[in-house]
Amino acid sequence: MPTDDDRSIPSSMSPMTLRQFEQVSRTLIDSSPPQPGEIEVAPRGAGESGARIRGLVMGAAGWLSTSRAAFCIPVVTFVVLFTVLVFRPGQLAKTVAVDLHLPSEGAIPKEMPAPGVEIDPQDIVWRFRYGATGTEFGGGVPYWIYRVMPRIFDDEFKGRGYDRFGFGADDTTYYKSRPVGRGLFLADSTLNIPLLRARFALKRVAINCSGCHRGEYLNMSGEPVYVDGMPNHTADLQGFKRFFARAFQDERVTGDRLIHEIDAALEEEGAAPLTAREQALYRILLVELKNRGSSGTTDWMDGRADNGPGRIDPFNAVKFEVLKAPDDKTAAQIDFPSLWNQRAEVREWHHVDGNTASSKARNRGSAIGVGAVAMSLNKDTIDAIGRWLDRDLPVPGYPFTAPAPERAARGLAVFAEHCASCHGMYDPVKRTVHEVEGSHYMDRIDTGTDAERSRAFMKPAADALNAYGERRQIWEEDAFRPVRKAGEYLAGPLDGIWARAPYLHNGSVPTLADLLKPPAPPGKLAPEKARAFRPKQFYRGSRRFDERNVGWVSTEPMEEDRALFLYRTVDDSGEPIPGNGNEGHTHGADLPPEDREALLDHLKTL
Amino acid sequence: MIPLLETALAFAMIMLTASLFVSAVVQVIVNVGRYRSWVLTHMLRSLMHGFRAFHKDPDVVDPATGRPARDALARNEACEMRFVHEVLADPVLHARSAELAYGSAPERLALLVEYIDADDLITIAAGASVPAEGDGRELLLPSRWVSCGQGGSSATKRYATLDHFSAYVRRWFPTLEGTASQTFKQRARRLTLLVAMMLVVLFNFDGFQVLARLHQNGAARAQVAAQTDTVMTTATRLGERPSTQRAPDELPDTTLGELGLEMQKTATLLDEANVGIGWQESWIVKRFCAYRGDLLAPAPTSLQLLRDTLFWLAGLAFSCGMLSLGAPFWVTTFSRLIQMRNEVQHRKRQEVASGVRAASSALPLPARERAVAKPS
Repeated sequence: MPTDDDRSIPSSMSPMTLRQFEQVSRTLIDSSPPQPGEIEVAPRGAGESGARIRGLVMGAAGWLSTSRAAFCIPVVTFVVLFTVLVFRPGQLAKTVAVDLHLPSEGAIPKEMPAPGVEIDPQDIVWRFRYGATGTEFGGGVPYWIYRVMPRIFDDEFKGRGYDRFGFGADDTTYYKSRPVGRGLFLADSTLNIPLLRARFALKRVAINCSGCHRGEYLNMSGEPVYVDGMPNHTADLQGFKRFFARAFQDERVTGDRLIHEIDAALEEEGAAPLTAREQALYRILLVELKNRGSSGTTDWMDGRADNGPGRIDPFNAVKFEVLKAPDDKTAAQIDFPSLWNQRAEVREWHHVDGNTASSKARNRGSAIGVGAVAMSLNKDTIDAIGRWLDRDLPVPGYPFTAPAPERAARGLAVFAEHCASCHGMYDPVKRTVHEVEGSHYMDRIDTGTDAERSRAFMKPAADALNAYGERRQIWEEDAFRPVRKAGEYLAGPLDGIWARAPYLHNGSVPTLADLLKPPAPPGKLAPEKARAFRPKQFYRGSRRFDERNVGWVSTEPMEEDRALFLYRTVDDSGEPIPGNGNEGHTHGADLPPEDREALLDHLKTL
Repeated sequence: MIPLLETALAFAMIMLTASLFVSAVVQVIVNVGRYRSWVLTHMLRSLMHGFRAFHKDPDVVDPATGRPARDALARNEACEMRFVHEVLADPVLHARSAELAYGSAPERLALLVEYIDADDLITIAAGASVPAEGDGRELLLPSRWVSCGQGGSSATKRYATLDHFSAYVRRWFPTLEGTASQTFKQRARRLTLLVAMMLVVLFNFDGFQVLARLHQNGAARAQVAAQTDTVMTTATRLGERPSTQRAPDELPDTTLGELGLEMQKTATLLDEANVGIGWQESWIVKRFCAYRGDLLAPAPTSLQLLRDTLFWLAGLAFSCGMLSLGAPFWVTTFSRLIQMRNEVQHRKRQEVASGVRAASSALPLPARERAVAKPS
């Protein structure tokens, strides 16, 4: 038997032996099955090309640590960058722009500022109404596709364009005309890759903050007035989203039809038709949009009641579409909230279930919910808007007939006795809230209202959302807290309550007068008897205000030529519709009529 | 003292964040390049090859000269790799290896090749061995492990018994394992340096500029310090914190997607620290732009620009050196700096408190006087 002293034989893996081994073909190593925990760089069974890609990637990764030549990569990169620095330093300071120089992009109608108005991109109100928030990258639609969809689906749009979804006319504070409707913006897709800004010059249309939080009403002269921070109770966000998810699956949307319609739209603008390169690009985009639509991301909405205008299911959208959580069957639709007085002195906690105290989580999370991705978030704009909402956004005063002071004073006394312990005493002049003795202000309490929304944000959802934000450095660690018990919601202030109709967290009660009535018992009631209870169904989306009952007119199916949405709390067989219930919060139902009316008058003053 | 310490702390935090980015990239490359398989495979093949050479197998050692036979490695690849694959396919080892994760810390990387021990190999060999003809007690290793057929002898090899193999494995396994670990460490270190260089060049990571900004700007220091918890969370997840050096079976397994997220997060942290990392807001770019008249700022002279460039290059080299120290170094440094700052603050508080006590000891007298002066 040989001895260990036989030095001429490699009896262990000496560095020399290892070097020899490195010369051996990697074929056998690479063809061995991957060890558990190792990553497959190309799917097995992807055929010969897959194996080739796998081999190439693995070979390159292995080469990086075995060859000295690999150090040439940073050296060459440095030489290139240094050369640019010396000869073209301005190039390094620029945002990296991927611009395909498409002629059709130049034909997009320009935004025309109102006479005498100079647009300042740092103006916070402008940023709130028209600024890009990062939703265009993941949730946007290329402009020309957006433009021709109402033509292709004329039977659905009926000539109303995107006003059909509540994204219609706007005031002229900033613009005389814009190529997209109110609540929408048009911007180049921008990716904020850390340490490197990149922009893709393909304009997309997407929703920003004002899409959900800039409301509209008709004043006493019947003219539309737009209010920043007011719930956009006429915008059907779900309808808009669902339309774009389904439209591309429709047989009417083919590559040829799309290109034909875009050419027609370009002709309207006096521009040349799409070039062959553009046609190819739009065909690719159409495939992407078809794939997005067929991925079933929005299918979860089909198992729930339609939201209608002014409502959204924000946390389920994030849970199912972003976090890819399994469907828990909760129907968590809520009314769009108002955005004024968001500072911690007035609202320490945010959202109807008070699930976060973080302004950053509230604002950035909202953008994520409507299509932004971590790297597309325009953090600068979103955070600036957040600060504005916290500090400066005013609460709109009641714009209709002011209540008689003595009745408002009586209403204040009623409010102090019956409502202030939960809603606090809001001072509209100082914009502060005074808490009364034994206050539950900013507590989460269960008043028996529809529990679906709170059920949708239990611990697993909060944990998943916290992890999502923390791992992407979007919001603070543990920014969200879970609901403790189904049915509990945040007791908050009633500032600007007149503009926040319909009422309860899910917008299930049309007016304040109705909210002070008890919920209707099951079964059918005679019309005269039913008036004593909250309505089981009503119409949402009207811009006309019901001064007597304090809320939007909700009894008529049409507002001029606009069809309104029939909101129902029960289905045809009288069964409650999950998430639409109007029960609970029965405070005030037993008030004498005079006190009730006085209370309504007081609420108008907040 | 405190501002200096705070600057050092913030700098260590920036370096730690950048090191974690490097660590995440290294882990991706290690994973994609299957370094783990590579080292294990070579270690096991070397073991079998060494065993055969030790016993002067004529397929491996030239009988005439006693030196390694010509092309022995290439000719014996098939059978020796058969042994390797059978060992790696062992379900017990698979289950154990699934629990492992790796970071750029050499001692943690070494865990990867240390999850097979000598007893495992002997057990696997015993399971595969067959009794020798005419001798019921002696067990021969499978001929597929030691006889390569083509180019080599396919005859039964009498030296390849389980006993000899066990003796060889027990004698040489620790050496082999150590060498394999060393190889792995070298590869990981080289990769870390390479990635650190790329990071410095691509993101224009000028360490001197970072230091200067942190020293001048208290708000920037505070902003960086505010991210301590989130950076430490990432360090824990990437397996770079000393406190997480637990038994291998407790370590988390990291996927490519998760590593991508860590890269994104650490890069975002560096971006939001606003300490001059990146080309687009870079001071050196502004200086060159000013020199070329592209900016309204006063243009530097050629000499000033040369001085700035040299300073900038030194800053890049400094960053490169600092980052090549690896994330575990910066975790430790950061922890020590925190400890030092706490001690300094504690001493300061004590000094203040003792000063207050000295002052307050003089107060009781007038109080007593007032008490005495009060009419009873």
